[in-house]
Amino acid sequence: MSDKDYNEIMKIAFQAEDAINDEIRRKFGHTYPDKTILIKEGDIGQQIYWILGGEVYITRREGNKYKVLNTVGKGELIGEMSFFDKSVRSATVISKGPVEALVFTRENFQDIFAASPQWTKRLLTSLSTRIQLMIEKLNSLH
Amino acid sequence: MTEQELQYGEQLRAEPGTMLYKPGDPASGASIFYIVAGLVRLDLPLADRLPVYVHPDSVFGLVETLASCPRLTGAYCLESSILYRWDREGFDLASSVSWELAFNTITGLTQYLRVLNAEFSSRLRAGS
Repeated sequence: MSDKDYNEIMKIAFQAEDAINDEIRRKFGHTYPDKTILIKEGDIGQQIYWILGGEVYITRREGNKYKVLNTVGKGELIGEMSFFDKSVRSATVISKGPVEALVFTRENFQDIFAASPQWTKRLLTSLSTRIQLMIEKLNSLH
Repeated sequence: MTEQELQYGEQLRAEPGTMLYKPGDPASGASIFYIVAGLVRLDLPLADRLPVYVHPDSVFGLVETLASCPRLTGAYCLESSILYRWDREGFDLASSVSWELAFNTITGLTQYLRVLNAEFSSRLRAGS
């Protein structure tokens, strides 16, 4: 099978997995009102958030102020770095309006995986790209 | 790691000093490695070496395969090692049947990224 054919099949298979069923929503779904703190900078990460609807602000404390670094929304994962390697949270995440998210813990990673193997593949690809970029940035320092 | 996951790959044994790949090599074919036993060092081709050590039950060689780029690091066996390697299709199959493999792999990549992020910040602070 050529790389092109394989990538095409993977893409189709991923699309087929896109639907998150009601059972997953019931089991792991949470709705947060506007201006809720989902993640607090400095805490140890115990949960990972998969945003299904709405948006959140990613903020970081700089001196006496909080700076909004980014706004992310549907389909994005929040808090994956500290969730997996137990580092402290590097940013505070606050809901921008009502937010619906799936919330997973380390203990139920198996459920995340069962809910969507696509999710883990996306995360692996995203992390690989970030590693590639960071190596390039390190190289650029020399 | 169970035989179920490993069946999609091939086993190899490497002696100390074996270079599995070097920076710039194409990441094609059986390019994703799992270390069963032994110790592997990943070397970034920086002016001053930045080694990252890979211990048993870890996956390496995945980044370039998923990012579709040539090897960013070298991989060097420090000890006699038993490895498995997959091509991309084999890895996708193995990681789709094993949440433990997926979890370990994601954890390994986040740890790797954390080292790189911290090193980058440190070097910026030092004004390199």
